[in-house]
Amino acid sequence: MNFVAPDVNYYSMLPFITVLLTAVFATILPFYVSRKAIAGLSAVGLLVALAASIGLWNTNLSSFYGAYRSDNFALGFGIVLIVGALIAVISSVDVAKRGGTMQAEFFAILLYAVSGTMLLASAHDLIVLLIGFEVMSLGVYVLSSFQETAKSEEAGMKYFLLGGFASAILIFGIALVFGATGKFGLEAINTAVLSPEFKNSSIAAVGALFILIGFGFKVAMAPFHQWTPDVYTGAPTVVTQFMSVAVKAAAFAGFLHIFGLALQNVSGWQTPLQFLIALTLMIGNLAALRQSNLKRMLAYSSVAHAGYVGLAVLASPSQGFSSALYYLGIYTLMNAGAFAVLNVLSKDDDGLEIESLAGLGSSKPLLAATLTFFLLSLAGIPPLGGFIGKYLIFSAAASSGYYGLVILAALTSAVSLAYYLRPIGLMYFRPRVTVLPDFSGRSTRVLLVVCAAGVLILGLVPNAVYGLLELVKK
Amino acid sequence: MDFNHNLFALMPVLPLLGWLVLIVWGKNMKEPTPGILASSLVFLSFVLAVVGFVQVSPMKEPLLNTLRWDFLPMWVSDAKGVLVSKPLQFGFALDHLSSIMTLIITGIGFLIHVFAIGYMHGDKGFSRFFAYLNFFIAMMLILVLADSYPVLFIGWEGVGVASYLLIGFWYTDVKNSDAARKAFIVNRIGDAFLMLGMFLLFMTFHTLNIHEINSSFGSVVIPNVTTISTGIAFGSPPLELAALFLLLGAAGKSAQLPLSTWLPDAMAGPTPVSALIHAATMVTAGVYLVARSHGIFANAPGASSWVMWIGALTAVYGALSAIAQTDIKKILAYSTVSQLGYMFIAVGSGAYWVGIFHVATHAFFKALLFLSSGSVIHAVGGEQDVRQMGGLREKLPTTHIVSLIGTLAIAGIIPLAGFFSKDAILSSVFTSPFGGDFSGYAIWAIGLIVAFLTAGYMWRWYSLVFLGTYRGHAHPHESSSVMTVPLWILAALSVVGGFIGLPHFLGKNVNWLEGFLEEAAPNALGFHEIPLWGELILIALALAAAVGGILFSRWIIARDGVNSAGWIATRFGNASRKALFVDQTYDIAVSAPAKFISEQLELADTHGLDRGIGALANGTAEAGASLSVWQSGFVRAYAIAVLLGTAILVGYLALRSFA
Repeated sequence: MNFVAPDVNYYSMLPFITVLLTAVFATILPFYVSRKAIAGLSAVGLLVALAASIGLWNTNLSSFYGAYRSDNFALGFGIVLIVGALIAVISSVDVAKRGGTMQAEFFAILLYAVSGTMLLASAHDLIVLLIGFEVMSLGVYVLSSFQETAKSEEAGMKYFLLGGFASAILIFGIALVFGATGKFGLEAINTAVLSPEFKNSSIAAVGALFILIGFGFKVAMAPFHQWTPDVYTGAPTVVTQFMSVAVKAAAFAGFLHIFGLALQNVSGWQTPLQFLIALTLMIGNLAALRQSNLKRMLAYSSVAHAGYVGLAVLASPSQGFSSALYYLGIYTLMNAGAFAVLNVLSKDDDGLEIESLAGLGSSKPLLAATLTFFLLSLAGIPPLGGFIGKYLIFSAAASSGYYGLVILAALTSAVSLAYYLRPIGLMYFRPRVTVLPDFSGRSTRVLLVVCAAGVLILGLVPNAVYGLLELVKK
Repeated sequence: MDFNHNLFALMPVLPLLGWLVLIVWGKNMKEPTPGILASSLVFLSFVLAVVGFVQVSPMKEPLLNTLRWDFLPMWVSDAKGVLVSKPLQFGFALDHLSSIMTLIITGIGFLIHVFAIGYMHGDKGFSRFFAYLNFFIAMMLILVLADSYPVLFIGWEGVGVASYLLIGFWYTDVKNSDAARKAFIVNRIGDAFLMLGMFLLFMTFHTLNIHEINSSFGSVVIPNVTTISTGIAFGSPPLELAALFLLLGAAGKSAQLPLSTWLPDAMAGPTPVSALIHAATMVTAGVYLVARSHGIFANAPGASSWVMWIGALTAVYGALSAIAQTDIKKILAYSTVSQLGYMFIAVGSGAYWVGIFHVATHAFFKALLFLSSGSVIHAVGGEQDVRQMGGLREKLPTTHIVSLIGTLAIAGIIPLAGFFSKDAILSSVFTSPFGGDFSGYAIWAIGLIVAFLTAGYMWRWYSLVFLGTYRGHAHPHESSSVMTVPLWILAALSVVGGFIGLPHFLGKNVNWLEGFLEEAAPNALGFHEIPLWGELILIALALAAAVGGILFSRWIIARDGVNSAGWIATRFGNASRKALFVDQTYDIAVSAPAKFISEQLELADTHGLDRGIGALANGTAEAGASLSVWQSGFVRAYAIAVLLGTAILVGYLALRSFA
């Protein structure tokens, strides 16, 4: 028997390896250099990975016999994930002033989690995908409990226990799918399902359902969302910022891959997913209406947004993939931007009361203006990016025939106006009552302006970027 | 970059820039800098409009700017039913029709900007006012330059916002902000229908590009026989319905029945705003929309006759409402409603150039009349009641002369501008291919009556303001030259403006405007021919109606005096003063039920829904502290929820496979 060298193409994994190496350095170097230098190192590493992702665009390389692929889908998601992580790193710098979260290990663990998310987005094999999923999850569990407060520790523990529970269901689902098809590769599974000899459709259907639940948990879809408000509120704000964008985006990358490629011809999961989306849209938006804490309101809003992106999973992959990617890119900018404002305005990691925003428009014009921008975009007001994102996803779902859900999504996003506009009204039309702290330094201010500009540009000239993404579809 | 092709696209950019500068730094500028800045930017746009006019005059095809970008990603099914990406472009097109409109908008807009420098002198919101005006000009230019309906819609909404901001410019008075809200809301009703129209057009034509839609109709359409290249038959239901939706959208913006009630209230804004937005430009957007969509309307005979009838009813409604008003601006407002009705008659009859002709002449004399009344209001210290005026002929000599010109022009006295355009409207409806003979003749007769009424109420307006003796208590004085120069220019245009569209019997090629718009907005086919003597009789009758109206009005005023105790006190006079009770009807038919329903809903909301959501959300508001099972904070409860959810989904699958 001849030895066959494994098919390893390091070049195709350049962004992933860069992040991983940076993480390794960030683990070792804190013994020798300052915390700030580690932050800088992380940012540089992420920027290099970003450049590598852009450089690999359209090359369509793969490694490990196609189990790891750097196609445009993976690279696009990789860019979104790296941007999300960069925003978190930059936001964490200014918050250092109020203490907590800023031990140097923070960056190492964050980067490990990022490498997990990138692996998840590039995987074309259920096992690789699962490894990425777990690397990401373990990192985020630790990050959630990074603050030495009872709340943060409770959040981390809760997330870990429930996450383990969900992972168990996910792995069970993977096992069932493997049992039904005998394959781990995403395309191979689809081929097996389509072959005339395929007999195990009911086992595959149950497996698909369990995988759906595992991912439904990770992206926070009702009724598997209940950890979200607790964990998002309890975790340090920077971590919540990272979780709400990067973890969600990566989980959706895997979600889209599995259901758009491997299981697209398995029946039985579409109706449950519709049910989950409908429930998510209603619960997320209605519960957000009555929140008095901005951080918790944004937590529920991110549940609602999982419902919108869920529509893209239902839609046919040719439109669903690119619209989900575009949406998540915009979502990363606007949601992380909103969290960045929240971050510098709150005195600790408990977030702040929405009422206390009153009068911010005149006392902190830049923070108020950028927060307004992000909230309007989250609400989906044209010409901001959030509108185009919703438009793309809604039209993808509508052209696949899900009119009822699209109408529900449009109605609930009209409801969402109520809670997105309230902070804006308070900031500009009420006199100041509370004096809020302001930890924003130059880096945060630049970050906010860049995010706001990105949201505006992606809304004004959508096809400049979306045109590139249309190649993403399989 | 192709300079020649993109120059005209700068037109909306310049005033937009002005808006940006004024809204950011305007507060720090001293009067009159903001006014001069705003006016000069609009003047530059006017220069560009002239350049564009020269460029586009010899061309057959519209001039498209090359700097355009894919705006909205969209998909259409191709012949095999496969979805194909066909993004909507954000682009402008300049053709003969939009060129005429840009000249009107920037030209009149510039004059009104200059006038406003004098009129708004000393106002606290001086720079804010010019910021809004510039914003309006930019949006209006986007509206007329758009080469697709969605881009047109951006301008359409933009001018709505500008109108809202400017009607409520003096927002500290609740009456003004109510008027602004009313205008905005009524416009939104029309906008909703415009959107429905766009949806239907996209479904039918798989594109929203205006020129593509217009050119998809074959060049020769013989009514009731031909199917056109898109396979959509002449007068087919989707075409008629789309045209009706567009008509309702147009009716909202142009204050046609049944969406006319906002325009008289809109006079709450400063007078230059009334002149620019609510007389010369924005309200004609509906007429422009119909002329722009000429392909659709020319092939939708049913919808076209609706356009004519709505125009005719609005024309007579506006004229009847104008005759007993006592507010100097309200008379002109109802007159605008009525004149817009005339324009709708014209475009409904299929003679699109005639509609645009009246848009142009009306812009001249109505802007003139509004600015004159602005000058009068300025002179008498803010008084707007015509019964408190009179005798201003000697005190305001310039304003008096130009007002007289404006009055005679709108009344339709030969050879002023209004005479030619009104005559063109009446003769085109008389010979229209749409609506059958009866509609054509009936609407012609209505138009003639409206001409009589118009001359009557305008003469009343003129004589109550300028003739007799002064009845007020202020000390009127003539305005400064920054205000009178624009008046003179507009007066000159009102005199000569009609010569761009001379009647046919004077020769085949004397009508410059019709020839100019032949490509961009060709007439619908099938106008009847009438002999020369017939045409002469029509003209004589129109002229007789105008002169008769003036004489009748003189006689009434001489008989009843200024306060007109005689006929205004009659039931007819009362109805006219209340604008035929349309507002009251809406109150009873729409507002009262809506109020009732919303009160009930509020009850249901506070007692039912709010409590429901409250219960749901309160449970989640303070995690751990609440006893709610739903969001208790306990890990085991959450795990059970996950498990239950899983069980339900698997149960569904099991049931489905058994069923």
